[in-house]
Amino acid sequence: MHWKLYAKRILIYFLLVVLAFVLQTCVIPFFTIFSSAPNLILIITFSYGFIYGTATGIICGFFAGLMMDLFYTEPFGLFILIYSYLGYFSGLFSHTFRTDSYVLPVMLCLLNELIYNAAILAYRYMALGSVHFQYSLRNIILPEVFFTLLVTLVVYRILLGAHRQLDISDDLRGQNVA
Amino acid sequence: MNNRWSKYILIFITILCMFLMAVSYVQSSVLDPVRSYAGYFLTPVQSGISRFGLRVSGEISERRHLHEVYDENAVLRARVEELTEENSRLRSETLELERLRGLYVLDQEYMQYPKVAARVIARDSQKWFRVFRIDKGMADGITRDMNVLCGGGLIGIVTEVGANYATVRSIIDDESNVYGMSQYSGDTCLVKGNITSYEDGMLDLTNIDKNAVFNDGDAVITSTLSTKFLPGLLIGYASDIKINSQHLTKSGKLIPVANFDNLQEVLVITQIKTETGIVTPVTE
Repeated sequence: MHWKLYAKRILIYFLLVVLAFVLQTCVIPFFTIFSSAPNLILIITFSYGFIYGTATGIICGFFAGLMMDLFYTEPFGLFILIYSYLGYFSGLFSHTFRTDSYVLPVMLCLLNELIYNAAILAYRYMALGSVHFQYSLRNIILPEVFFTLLVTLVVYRILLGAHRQLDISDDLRGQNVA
Repeated sequence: MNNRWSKYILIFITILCMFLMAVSYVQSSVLDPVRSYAGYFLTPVQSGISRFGLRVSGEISERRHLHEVYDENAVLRARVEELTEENSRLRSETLELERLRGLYVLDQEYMQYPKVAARVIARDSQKWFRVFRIDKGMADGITRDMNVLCGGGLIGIVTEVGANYATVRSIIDDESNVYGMSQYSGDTCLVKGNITSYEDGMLDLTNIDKNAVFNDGDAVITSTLSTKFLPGLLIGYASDIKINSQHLTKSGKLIPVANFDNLQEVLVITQIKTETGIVTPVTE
């Protein structure tokens, strides 16, 4: 592929992550009927990692973590680290990627959510000295995992459709450029 | 993308993040310019979208609550009549009170701080960290450590400021500690955020002397002892006060005045407490 196409892809990932992040922090929390919000940027990270492979997963994870780091006042780089590794981890399964299967993405979503929340629990244990494990599990982790799983079914489908369109247009343009 | 390089990218990111985390852990203000510049792009977007989100959610809840509102209206009408009568009685009592106040020369200093209103534009979606972001920043004279109020009570403190936004840590966050005192007796206590207590809508009240006069229902205000919180701000009301097993201190729960679940507009006090007293910070 030509380098311009790489740049275009990276820009698309960046804008997508920004959009998801803004939705996640500015719109969903104001709907008080939901007890928790789905982690949209995590969905994007693991979906693209799974569809395109480790490198794309890391790039999306990097952007996702960057947004979190810019928003929170925790040590800068913490979320970049977590999300990049999750992107890489999901990319390891990309050789099993098939467009018609939804079992693996859902499994991956579950795994990613659990690892992500475990990492935050570990960080909080180090920073605060104690965590309310049972409370956190019941009131923060489980609702979030549930909502994220639910939303994954929809968002993954949309990303998959966009992925096909993007590939077709890039293939055509790649031929012209070459 | 070429997956051959991803291991090296990952190693690079790991080293970079470890370095950044170490730097920001030692000196947290180093990366503030980065966050501030990002705010230039992000805050207008967040502000616009949260306004849109609020309108949509408002409309949805409007429909859901319409029939409740009808019932409530009938109850409230009856209440208005009751209150009108009460009001006329109280008005005559107010005149009496004013006269008595003049005699006592009550200290009117409390609660007369200059305030600025701000809108909440982004909130933590995952409830891990009880922080939120408001649409006023350095340009509006906001600085770090300014106290934030809502619904007549203290809700938090500004922990980070950008050019056009500020991040506020609410007092229900696990990392929050506020020195308070009983408005009635002046005995001090410590108001601690605790996510398990907040499940029941409460905060923890600790470090009360065993001889202190502290009863359920006492109003708890910020103490003059606090280094960052201005004195005299109402936090909430004490409840479940009991003596600890060692018989050295008392502890209990605090019911906050402010509602933390549905923050939309908040007031920021534009004075901060320093070692030399209460000052209005000058921003460049």
